[in-house]
Amino acid sequence: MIKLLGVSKYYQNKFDKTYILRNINLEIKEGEFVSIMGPSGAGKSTLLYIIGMLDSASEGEYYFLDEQVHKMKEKRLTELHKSHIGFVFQQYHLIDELTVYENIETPLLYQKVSGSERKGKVAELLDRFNMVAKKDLFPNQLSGGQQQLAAIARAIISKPKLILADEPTGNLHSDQGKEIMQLLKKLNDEGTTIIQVTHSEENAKYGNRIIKLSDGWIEKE
Amino acid sequence: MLKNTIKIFFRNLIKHPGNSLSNILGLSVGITTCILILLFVQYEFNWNTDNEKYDRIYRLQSMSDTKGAWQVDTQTGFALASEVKDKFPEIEDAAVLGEIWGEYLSSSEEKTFNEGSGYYADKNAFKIFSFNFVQGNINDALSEPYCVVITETMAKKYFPNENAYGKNLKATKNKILKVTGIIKDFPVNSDFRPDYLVSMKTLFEVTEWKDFYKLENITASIYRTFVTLKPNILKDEMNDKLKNFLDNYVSNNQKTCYLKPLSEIHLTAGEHKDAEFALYATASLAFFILILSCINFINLSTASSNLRKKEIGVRKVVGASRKTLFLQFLSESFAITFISMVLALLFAELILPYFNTIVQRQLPFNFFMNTQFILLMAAIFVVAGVLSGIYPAAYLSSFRPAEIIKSGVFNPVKNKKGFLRKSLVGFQFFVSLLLIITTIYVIKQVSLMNNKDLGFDKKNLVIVKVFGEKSDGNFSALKNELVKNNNIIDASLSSTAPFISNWGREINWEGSTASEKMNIMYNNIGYDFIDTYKMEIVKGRNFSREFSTDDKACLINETAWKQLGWDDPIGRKLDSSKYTVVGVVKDFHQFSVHSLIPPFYLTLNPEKLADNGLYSIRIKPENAEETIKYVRAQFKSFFPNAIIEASIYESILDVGTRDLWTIVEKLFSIFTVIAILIAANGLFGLVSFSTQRRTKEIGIRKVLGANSGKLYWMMSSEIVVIFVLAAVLAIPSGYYQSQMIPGAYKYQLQFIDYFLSVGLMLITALAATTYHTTKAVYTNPVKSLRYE
Repeated sequence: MIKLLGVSKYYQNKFDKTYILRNINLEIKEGEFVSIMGPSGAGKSTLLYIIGMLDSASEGEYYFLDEQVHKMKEKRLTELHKSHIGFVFQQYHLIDELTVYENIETPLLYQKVSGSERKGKVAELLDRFNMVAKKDLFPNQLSGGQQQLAAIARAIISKPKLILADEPTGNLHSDQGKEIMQLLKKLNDEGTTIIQVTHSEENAKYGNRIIKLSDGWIEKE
Repeated sequence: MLKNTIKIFFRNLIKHPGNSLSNILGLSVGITTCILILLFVQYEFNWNTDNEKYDRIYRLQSMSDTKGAWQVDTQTGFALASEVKDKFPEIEDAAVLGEIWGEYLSSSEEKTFNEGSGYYADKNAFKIFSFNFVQGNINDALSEPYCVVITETMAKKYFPNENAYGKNLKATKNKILKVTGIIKDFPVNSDFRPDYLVSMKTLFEVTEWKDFYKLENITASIYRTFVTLKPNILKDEMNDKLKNFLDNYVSNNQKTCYLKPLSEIHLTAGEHKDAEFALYATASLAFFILILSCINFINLSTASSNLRKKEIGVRKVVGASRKTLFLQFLSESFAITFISMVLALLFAELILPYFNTIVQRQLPFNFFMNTQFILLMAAIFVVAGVLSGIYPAAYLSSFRPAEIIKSGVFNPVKNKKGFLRKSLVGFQFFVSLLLIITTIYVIKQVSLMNNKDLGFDKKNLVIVKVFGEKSDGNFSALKNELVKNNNIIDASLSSTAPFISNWGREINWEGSTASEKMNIMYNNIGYDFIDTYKMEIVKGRNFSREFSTDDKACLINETAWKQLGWDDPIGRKLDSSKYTVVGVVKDFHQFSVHSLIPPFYLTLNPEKLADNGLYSIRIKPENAEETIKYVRAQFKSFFPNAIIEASIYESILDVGTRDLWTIVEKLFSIFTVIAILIAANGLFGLVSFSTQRRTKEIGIRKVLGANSGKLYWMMSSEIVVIFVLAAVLAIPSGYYQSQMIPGAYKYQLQFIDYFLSVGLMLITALAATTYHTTKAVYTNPVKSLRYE
């Protein structure tokens, strides 16, 4: 599903390049649950964003579902990422001005899904996550765990093949964290590919593969 | 999607009320100004449009060119109208109008009024201009002698409680006019706006010059000729055919006939582009103010993008393309523009009465009746929306989601150094400076015109006109009585007087070839005219009673001297050797101060009271009213049955000078202040954002020991540099603009004018920045650093 060949990311300063990622070669198959680990500044998030097409590599080739991402125009990139990829962040990143319902609905708006269909899909997810009562609240009226639940609901509403999670439990206390991880595990069991960035060995155990990054290099698998 | 956009728009609006309010109010002030100014400009450009055949109506007039100086004559001979109608099938209708001067009408002793705007006319006039008859009809109203058609206002004035139709009005020379028609008043912005029309047959009865209608007098300059062309006839083609038309009637003709469209009569009266220029300048003022407020909008919305960056990032992550976001922000700008526009319309309606007193007009605010205005509003909406929306939308939608999401660092793709924002601020400075310079220029120019040396002393003059009776006596007898009063210094008689009326003719001169003629203005003056007006003889002598030959003498003005090219004009002959030049008068203005002084010659008036001239009397400033009463009494004793009109000369002048330029001056003064305030307001907002962003930097610098002077400079230097650049561009532009103004006499901008403009703007700019800078500089660094 995902294939990175010799991917590097650096920032060009006046005289030298600061590398974030160096010569990454990586293949991830459909249905995997991968955890990217490593110390702060190792390039974990950058790798995740490159895979998520929010950032681009400086060098190397990136194939997503056998398409050449490194050669794509912005329009096609947006197309690809909005239909196949869902994101979950440590800081949840819900839009403050929208209610839970509206936040979950947003991706569908960008995919031009009809009104009645949207209603159905959002209602189904709210039901599944036990959030029906909270649907008209704004993000700042929710607990962190509830916000992250809403964020996951938003990430999966368009049934993406891939979910990218950047320390999804980083701001949660352990009970809530566990709940979120179980949810991700369940999604993976249902067939969704998941890549998460995490510091926690415990969370990594939910997955079936660990990639260790250090100073921009893949250390070992 | 739309619902979502609208929701988030309003929630954002409410979440940052200060920000929204300043955006909306700023923009609506700009739009309000724009609406008001454009209403005025529109009104001024739409004179005469109420006539149904507006675009086919022309005034037939002539132009003559002699010795390089051309002169327009808007009056023609009587016969021209019927001749062109006969000879040219392209002409649908032609009408001749005879202006009636100094007529007094009365319905009873106490209802006697001097009427200014009357014409002799026949039914052809009704075919050209749109008359609306309330009573009477087009065919019969002016078919008989001694018939008059009056407006509703006139009817009410003379016959307040009765139907005027069929009643009689008494006119001067004991004419009795029967009211045979009542018409609706003409709109105020019509140049042809008669209060009453007297049947043309009446003119044949009362005139003393019985040959006025004859073909040989077709080039006389007395009547107005208006025509309508049949549809689809081109003016230029018609002008080609008319060019030599008058040659068929008069030998040695120098006049070229041409059509002047009714649409151009008001603004380019004497073929000067003065008024038109003033209106375009005023319209551009409106446009500049709109741009200034749009720039504020752009700057504030990009500067405040921090408030939106998370939303932008998240939307991109969940699948929004750059295009969708661009459209979202653009529609938000349009929504704000729309709200501002609605507010602006409301403001405009509220302010209009005050605005009307400024521009001395009765501008109507009939929004839904005025198609042009609706189109204009639509244009303003699109221009403002696009101007203020495009850039912020492009800017906001360019954020890279990864960076925002990952680090929260505010780092848009383009515009890393805020180049565009700086340029926009610079542009605002530039526009404001340009407006200040232009305003100073307009003020100085108008005052130059108002205080221009006219070549005579306009103060303390009284003009007397006598209507309706002739006297056999000599002026000297009357003058002897007048000067018995100690407050009367001098008095004289003349045919015309500066700014009151003027005569022009074509003459030859000593040394001219047989066909050479020169267009020249002339006046017929008494011995004491030059002294009464305090004009100056620069060469030779004034007329004098000691020279019995002076009835064959003339004076010329400096321009005539220059144009004739004589080294020594004294003793030279003019007008088929009829007159010998005995002196040269310093140039004086006879009409508009905007135009060059034409060549002029003055001949001696025999000073007979029978000639019904103009009487000019120089008085002392003390007890003017008493003096005028005395003057009136003396005239009454010489003309017991006449109507005497005595008025202060300057009061007559004031009517003439209260023209467009004075209004434009006021508009510029007021709206430039508004423009500066708009620019200052934008700067204020911008500085508030930039200091917020630099709070931490300032805190650190303070901790490291920077003193407040250095910090001030650090915060303000950028603005000062931008300002200097703007000033460097604005000064030559202002100079260039001041040179573009039409008219013969231009004020030259002085160093002090530029200095004042720049100083004023710099002070305003620094004042706008000081509040936030000071706050930032004096905040305790502990406070600003703790929350980082």
